[in-house]
This record gives sequence, C-alpha cells and structure tokens, in this order.
Amino acid sequence: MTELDKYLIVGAALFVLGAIGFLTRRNLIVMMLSAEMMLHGVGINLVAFNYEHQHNQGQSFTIMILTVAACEAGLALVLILSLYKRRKTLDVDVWGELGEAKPLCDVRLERRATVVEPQEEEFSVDPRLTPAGRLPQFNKQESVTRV
Amino acid sequence: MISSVEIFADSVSRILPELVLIVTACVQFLAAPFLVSSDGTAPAGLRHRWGGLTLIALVFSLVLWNTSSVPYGGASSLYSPFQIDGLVWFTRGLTVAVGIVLVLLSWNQIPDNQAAETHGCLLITLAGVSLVSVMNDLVYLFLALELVSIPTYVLMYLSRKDAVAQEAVTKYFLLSVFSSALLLFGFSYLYGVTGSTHLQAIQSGLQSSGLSGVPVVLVVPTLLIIAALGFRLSAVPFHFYAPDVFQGTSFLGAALLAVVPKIVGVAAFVRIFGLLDTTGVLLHIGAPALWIIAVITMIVGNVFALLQNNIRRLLAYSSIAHAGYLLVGLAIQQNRIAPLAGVQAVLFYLAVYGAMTAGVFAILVYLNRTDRSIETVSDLAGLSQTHPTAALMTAIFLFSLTGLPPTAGFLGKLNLFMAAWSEGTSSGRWLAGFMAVNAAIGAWYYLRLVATMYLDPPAKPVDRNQDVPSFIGVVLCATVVLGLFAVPHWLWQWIAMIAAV
Repeated sequence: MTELDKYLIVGAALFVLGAIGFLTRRNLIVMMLSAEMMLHGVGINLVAFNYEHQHNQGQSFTIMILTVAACEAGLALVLILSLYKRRKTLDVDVWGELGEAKPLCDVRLERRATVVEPQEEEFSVDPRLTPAGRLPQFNKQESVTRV
Repeated sequence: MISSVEIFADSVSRILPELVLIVTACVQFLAAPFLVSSDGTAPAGLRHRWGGLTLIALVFSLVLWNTSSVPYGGASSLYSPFQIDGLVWFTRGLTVAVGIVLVLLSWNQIPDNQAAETHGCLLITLAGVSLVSVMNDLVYLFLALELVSIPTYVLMYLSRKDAVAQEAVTKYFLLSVFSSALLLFGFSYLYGVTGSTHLQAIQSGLQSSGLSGVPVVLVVPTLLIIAALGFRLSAVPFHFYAPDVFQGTSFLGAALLAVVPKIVGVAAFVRIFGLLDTTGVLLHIGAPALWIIAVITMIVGNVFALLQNNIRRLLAYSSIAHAGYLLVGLAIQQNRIAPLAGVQAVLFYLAVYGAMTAGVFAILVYLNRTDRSIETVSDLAGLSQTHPTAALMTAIFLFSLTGLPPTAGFLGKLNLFMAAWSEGTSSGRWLAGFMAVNAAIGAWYYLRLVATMYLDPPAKPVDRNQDVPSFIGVVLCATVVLGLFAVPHWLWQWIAMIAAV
C-alpha cells in the first residue's frame, strides 16, 4: 500500500460514511452535515492526488469546493430555519405532503399522523440537534430572554 | 509571450453574452432594496419595469450571440478556461431563447416587491447554463454547475411560500447537494488518474492509455458522474424527486426545472465524456450503464405518467420519459460512420423539448388564476369551449410531446430513432425499439389530456384572461414547435456545424 492509497482510503471512507448518513438520517441538519462530509472526502482525495502530481490544480479545486460548500451551507441554514419555524421540529418525516395520490400515499399519511404532531409552543426557540449520547443542558428560561 | 492583460481581455471577449446577464442580475440585486420600502411594499407595477430590464438584457445577449461569428472547430486556449465551439454557440442560443420564454411566463406570477430578486436569480441561472458548455476545465465546470443550482433554490423559494413549496425546495436542495458530491468524487478520480483538470488534457491522457489500459479504478467514478448528471436529467433512479418537487413548487419553478437542468445535463455530459472528440474512453466504461438507465427511465416515466391525475406530476413524469429519450441519443456513440449522429439528434431534441415543455407551462400559467387554479387534469375539461385558442395551442404542444406530425416533436423523435437504429448493433436496435414502444405508451396520457379538453363539458365558469406576457410566450413556443417541423434545416445547420470540428 502506497502513501497515496492510504489517503484515498480515508477520502473514500469519509465519502461513503457521509452518503450513508445522508440516506439514513432523518434530521435536516445532520443530513446537511453528512453531505458536507462527502464533500470533504472529495477534498482529501484531491489534495492527495495533488501531492502525487506535484502541482497546484487539485488544491485550487479544493478551495473552490470549500467556497461553494460554504455558500450552500448558508442557504441550507436559511431553508432549515424556515422549515423549523413552520413545524417546530427538524424531523424530515413531518414533511411528507408531496407524493403520489391517495392509494399510494395512505401508508405515509398514517405514519406521519402517528409519528409527529407539530407542537405549538408559546415561545420560539432556535432549532437544536437531536442529542447523541448524553442529553445536552437546555435552559428554557435563557432562550425566552434571548428571543 | 502573452501578457495577463491580453489573457483577461481574451477571456472576457469569450463570455460577453453571459457577462451581460450577470451584470444585469447584479444591478437588480443591488438596486432592488432601494425601491422597496422597509415594510416590504413596493410601488405597483414595479415587476413590469424589472421584467422589462430582464428582457432587454436577454435580447441584448441574444444580439451579441447572433453577431458573434460561428466558430468552426475548437477555438480552445491553453490560457483561458473558456473554449468556444459549435456546442457553445448552440447552447448559448438555446439558453437565452428559453430564458426569454421563462421571463414572459413569470412576468405576472411574482409579487412586485420580489420581482428584482426573482429575475436576477433567473438571469444568473441562465448565465450558468451557457457557461457549463463554455468551460473546459473540471474546476470551472463545477463552478458553472453550482452557478445554475444555487440561484435555482432561491428562485424556487421566492416564487412560492407555503408549506408544500418549502418542502419541495428543501428536498430539491438536499438531493442536489448530494448529487454535486457524487459528481465531485468522480471528478477527483478523473483528475487523479490523468493528472490534470483540463478537459482536453484528460481526454488525451485517457486516450493515450488506450481502451485496454483504462484503470479499473475509473469504473466507479464514471458511474458516479453518470449518476450525478442523471440527477440533473431526472433519469431513473435519480428521478424520484422530480414529481414531488414539480407538484410542490410554482409553475415558474416547475418550468425552470423541466427545461434548464436538462440543457445543463446534456452539455456537461458532452463535455465530460468528450463526445465531440470521439475518443470515448469514459463512454466505453459507461455505455452499458447508460443503455440500462435510458431504457428504465423511458419505461418508468411513461408508465407512472399513466397513473397521474395531478397535472404537474404528470408533466414531471413526462419530463422523466423525455430524459430517457435524451439518454438514448447519449448512449449510442459506437457508430463508426456517423460518430456524432447521437449527439446531434440529442441537441435537436433538446431544443424541441425546451420549446414544447416551456410552452405547456406557459399555457398553464396563462390559464391559472387564484380563484380558478389548474391542479388536476379535470381542471382542463372543456377548455376548447372556454378558451378555444389556448386549447388549440395546448393540443399543438401535446401532439409535439407525443411525437405526432405536423410538429417538431415528431422530427426530434425520428432523429433519435434513426440514430439509434443506424448504429448497426443489436443493442442500438433494441434501444430504438424500446423508444418506439414508449412513444406509443406516452401517446395515451398526452392524448387523454387533449380528449379532456375537447370532449368533456366545461367544469368551471368561463373566465376571460388577460395575462398577455405568458400568452406571448405560448405563441413563441408554438411558432418554434410548428416552424421547426416546416424548416428543420434552420436549426439543423447549426447542429451539423458541431460535427464539423
């Protein structure tokens, strides 16, 4: 195994993990982060190839990708925030109004009805990631004063 | 020795038509906030002024395109990331023409206080589309593709604001980012294997290694690139977003998504796979996958369209089916006698498809009213009695989508069929056969719409309509659809020029 292969394996692993995360996760922010992870897998590939070829084309490509990814992240946050403001959750399963007409859609509608009930809260909080592992400290009082 | 000033001047002169669009969009973005008061109200009729400015920019760009000499051969440059050849000339003209119809279509659909932003996003998207065909470097090609995508999200978000539309735009956004990542992974290996991001250098690098010497490592990246471009073309299995997004977004968003990504997908495909250079190493790897995707896309698009009652979902599946027809032309490249027959047929079909699809959406915009919205097929019932002219125009577009004479859709399908059949291999003939069968299936749901319009009694009260701009768009599209049947040579001469490289 050459030096290059090791980098390529890391890049491919990041890319595949990102793809799996994107396809399986149901949280909007985590899906976006997974897509970003795929882009960084590509970045590692490019920089490794760039080192192999000893010129600067791959690196400049990486910088372009990072710039565009930043633009997309900004836009993603706007979209996610606008969705959150409407339904007060980041779960994509709440959003399933588009789809095939009645006969094909019944199962999905049932699932939506059982899984999610948009909660009306008296104050508006910013979206938060679902906790992984330990429950994060979340101070309701603080968010009220902030809003 | 060439100075950097000369390189800059040369580069600018190559993309003047796109620069006009981008500068106009910048003016719109910058000036718009000053014309809208702080509580978001705009003077009535502001959209007419912004629409007029957009139209002037597009016409100016069209004039620049028209007066520029048609380049023979690849006027490529080692110094400039832009190359100008026949494909660029064709894509540019098609993009601006589609843009004019889209502006007319959106004219009265957008509120006064957001007209500038919507038109600005539309202009940047259009500039991105023609830049995709101009770029001859992977880095810039990626940037051009994103220049198409990012304003598209904003435009879809601006043009409709209810919960369904937000779901549609988020769905499209996330999947589009996913497909960009697939494309980039493919690009990174293309760069790694050949050691350059320059497209010509990549093609010659692959060619020098020969068909047998192609590294196995390129197989997965090639498939990923096909997958990412398949997302743009809405080909199976990356089609599933299309019906939902079309259903959820505005007519403008749906018209944009039906036409613009198809042009982008085909132009990027031709560039990345080097279809004009007839080296075809990458295509050799991808051809079997393309064949399968083309067949399945046609079948899925047509069969699912039979089940649809929502008119925008129906048009979405129709656009998927047409993506299948386009892929037929891209899949057949092994023809030794006329190696470019497939690409030429695809480009001709692309122009015809753009005209007829934009025409259908313009008709829907023309008929759509807040109190009389067009959502399902039955909303069109009895159109021949309430709006005879509109019904006739719709029938023309639907005949064209079916592929019946006397419309350009017939010639487009015939070209693709002949290109596939004359490839001379049994796989090419199978492809032609599948295409013919699918055209027949497609006839059912298009003609069902025509029957609803002409045979059913009117479901809704007569409503005289005054949306003049979208009707002008309809007439333009109908002229193209009928005109290209009468004088196909007018378009074909430019496409034939691409082969003269």
